Amino acid sequence: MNLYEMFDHLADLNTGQRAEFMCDLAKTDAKRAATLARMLIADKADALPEPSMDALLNVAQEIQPPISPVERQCH
Amino acid sequence: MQLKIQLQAAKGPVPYTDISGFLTRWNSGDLTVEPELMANLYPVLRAVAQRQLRSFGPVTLQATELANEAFIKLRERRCATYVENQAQFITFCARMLRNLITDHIRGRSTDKRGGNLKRVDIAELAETRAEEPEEFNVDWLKLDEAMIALEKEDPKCVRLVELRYFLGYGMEKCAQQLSVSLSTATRMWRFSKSFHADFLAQNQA
Repeated sequence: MNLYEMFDHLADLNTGQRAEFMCDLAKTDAKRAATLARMLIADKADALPEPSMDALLNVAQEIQPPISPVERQCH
Repeated sequence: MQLKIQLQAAKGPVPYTDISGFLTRWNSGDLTVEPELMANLYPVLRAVAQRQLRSFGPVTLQATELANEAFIKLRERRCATYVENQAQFITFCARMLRNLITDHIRGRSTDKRGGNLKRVDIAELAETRAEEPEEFNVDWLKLDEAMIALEKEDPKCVRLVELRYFLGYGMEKCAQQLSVSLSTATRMWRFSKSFHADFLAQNQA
């Protein structure tokens, strides 16, 4: 089970089952269990802002590279 | 023999790589083919972006249209047999845009530290920053770092973030593009956001 599958699996468990799963994981892979525990806390934090095309356009408008002979073929 | 050569000449340059095969491998998580794909497809996307910028000005550059137009250009160049799957191509376009943007921002950072690559006018940059609203302030380089780490965990989640951030796709369109249900895409997005939050917290400490 990769990290995504574990995270996804935890979403379907109740609090008791979740604790049991985390305890079992901590016994076999403490580092992974710690990461997963932190991620469950971060789940409510919403650190990644919702994507916006305006943010992308702010950068895109600065990008105007010169044309190479190879690229001319595409025009 | 001569006729064969003439027919080939009329078709124009024949691509030497099976792009579709590489795209299929890349979409199933084989990143070893990425340099080959980049070398073949990036120039096309960049050329289309330049044409858009020249014709309509920077503010009208639309990432999704850009990817669609790049695909059409490839068809016009008779690469159709090589790029058959538009969905695969669109997903890879999001990746190319990610590279284009992060490379550009890295270059901008080098300029600020006194490097020789003067690709951005300082006054123009200051103006852009001043206009940038707070809520749209994305740290693209940190996002890129987090995505590199996420790639090791689940490449499909990275494709989702790329589609959302670099092509501006909504969740339904992402689900369609990645051939997953909307609820799976939503869970993948939730996981990606938590992963990003944890990555930021761990790397700021």
